[in-house]
Amino acid sequence: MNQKELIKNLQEAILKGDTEKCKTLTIELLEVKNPLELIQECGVAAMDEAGSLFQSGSIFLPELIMASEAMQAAMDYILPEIKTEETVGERGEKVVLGTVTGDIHDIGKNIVKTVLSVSGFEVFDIGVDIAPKSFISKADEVGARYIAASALLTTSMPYQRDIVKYLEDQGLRENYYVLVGGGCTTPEWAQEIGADGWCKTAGGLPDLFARLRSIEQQAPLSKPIIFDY
Amino acid sequence: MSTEWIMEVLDRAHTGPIFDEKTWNMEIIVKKTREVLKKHGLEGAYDGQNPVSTDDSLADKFFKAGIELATNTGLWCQDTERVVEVSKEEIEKALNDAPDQMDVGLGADVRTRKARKPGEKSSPLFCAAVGDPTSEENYIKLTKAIVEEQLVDMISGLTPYTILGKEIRGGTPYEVVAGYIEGAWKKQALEEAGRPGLATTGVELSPTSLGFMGGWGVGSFDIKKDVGLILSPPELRTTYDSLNMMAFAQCSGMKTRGGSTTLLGGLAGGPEGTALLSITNNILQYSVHGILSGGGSIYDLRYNGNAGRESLWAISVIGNALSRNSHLMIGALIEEVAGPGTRMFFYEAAAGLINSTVSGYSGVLAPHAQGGAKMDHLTPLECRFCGEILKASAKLTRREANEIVLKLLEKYEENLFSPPAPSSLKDLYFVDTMEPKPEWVGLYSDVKEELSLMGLEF
Repeated sequence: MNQKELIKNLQEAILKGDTEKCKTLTIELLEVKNPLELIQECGVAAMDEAGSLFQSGSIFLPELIMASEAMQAAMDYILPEIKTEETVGERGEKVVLGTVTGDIHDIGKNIVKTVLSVSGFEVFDIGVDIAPKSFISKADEVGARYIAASALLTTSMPYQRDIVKYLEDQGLRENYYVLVGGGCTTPEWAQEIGADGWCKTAGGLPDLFARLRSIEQQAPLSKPIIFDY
Repeated sequence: MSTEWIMEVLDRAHTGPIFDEKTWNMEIIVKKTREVLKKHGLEGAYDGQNPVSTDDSLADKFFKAGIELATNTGLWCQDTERVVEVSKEEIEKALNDAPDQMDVGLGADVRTRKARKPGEKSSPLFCAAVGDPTSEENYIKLTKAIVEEQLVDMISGLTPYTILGKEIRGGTPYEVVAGYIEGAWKKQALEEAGRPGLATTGVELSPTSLGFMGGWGVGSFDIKKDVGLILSPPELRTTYDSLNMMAFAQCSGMKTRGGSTTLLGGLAGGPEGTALLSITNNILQYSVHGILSGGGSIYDLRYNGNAGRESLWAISVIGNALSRNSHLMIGALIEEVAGPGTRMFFYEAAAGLINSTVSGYSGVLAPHAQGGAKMDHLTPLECRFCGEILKASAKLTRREANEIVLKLLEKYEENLFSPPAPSSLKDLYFVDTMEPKPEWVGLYSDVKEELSLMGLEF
């Protein structure tokens, strides 16, 4: 099989969530390809396709999760091959993600986790019913720049504000971008609490993060970046 | 539900098989749902041309598959990571023991909720106002104006956005106070509207059992007329909060309804998996949570509503399956993506309401535009419209309903992912008098005329 065919097969294996095949093909391709190129040509291409298929309704959450896991299996072999002076560019940034206090809804959060993982972020999912301080502690522990807090209920929304307020009170606000979302949240709410970003569904996240990076502005932003999809 | 069975359920939540969340989601929910779909020949069953399904043999297959999946799964307790399993005999006993009718409300406002069959020439019970967040200044007068719409049979109720100017924080003592206050406000609104006996579903704002027990515990609600709502998260889960509410409800003897949503596009996959998982979920609510009515609806997480073609089909199949094969009083929740002030809201609501009526649901909760995200974005006129559609659609056969729903879908389906912007209560109503503005009445009348021309008889 030539290189082109191997790349195509790896892309398909990722899309199909075939973890074993991903491992085998990745090992084979690493003998002939630069690891960063491999991430870009196979991983990024496949995950972008997976994200599009999910948004269009051609695949559902389980397939997206399996594709993400297959990609992770490939990355487990690729990452050790990357020389320390190289970087994965925009990818590999860290996000702390959770559902706030008093709220146990997690499906939306899990979709966000999958979409972000698919987009190359390292996601630290701290679970549901999480106190504001725990988001910050985790972000500090792992060196994350982004805190993403989900709330589905109006009675949980105040805890999103609490995250921002805690950062301000501790003099830490500039260290983290705070992104909020969830069924009951709105762009107006994100503005009101001084968050840095909001999007309606997980599908808007890649664009939101791309915009955040492109503006090269330290937190807090004067107005949150909003994606209404 | 006997005390012995309550304790048995609680025991099973602590002694049942252990699963971590990921294994439960992927190995049990995803894998078993797909296996059972395949085994019963239900893969690819979705029929986009017949969102209002008349395929009774398909419905019966889904029910049979639902019983099998319920027997092979159970409800996973999120707090203990153990499964409350129930045997086929226990499931069947719970379904047999469930009532086929139930009086809600008192006096002049008593209503009898009854199990229905597909195509039955009666309308389901209409439960209005599904937790829409409402400012304190508008809470009582908006509730009053909604219940003054005489087609409203009961209310779930509005969610107060603040109490005495304070934000209500879930999982805290705020919730306890809020549950008590919400009950007091609802009671005042009903009395001012001259409908003190109208049934409610208890505490609407309650994200945890604290609000539920706070409101019911201090006597803000009446077990003779009101109905307790036992909520649980997707997919096939229970929690300590759900079990708290179950235990409280059972020990107090209140009437109950279940609420747990299956997500189309999520772990359930497409419409077939969603229909199967929702049927399974409904069945298990009766055994594990001891509910007397309702159970759960579905929702498409890709656009945050359920008026799309796939959702309508799944809702129809679920209704047909459960109502044909049991005497359960099942419930539907209509969730529009377009909000008040838009033509699209009326189209979505009409499609969902017509579908639910002819598909055998005994009770319908509506409207619930935009997932209730925006404060003060519900008007009484929408509730009036919903009540009128339910009455009118009781005259339809399923085939006639399908023809109308197909016409409606043409009008809004393309905009599900980008609906028009909604208007607020003060945009559409004179808030001091709670009278609708002429433009809003005009739009409502216009759409009713359109629906009449499509075949709906008001």
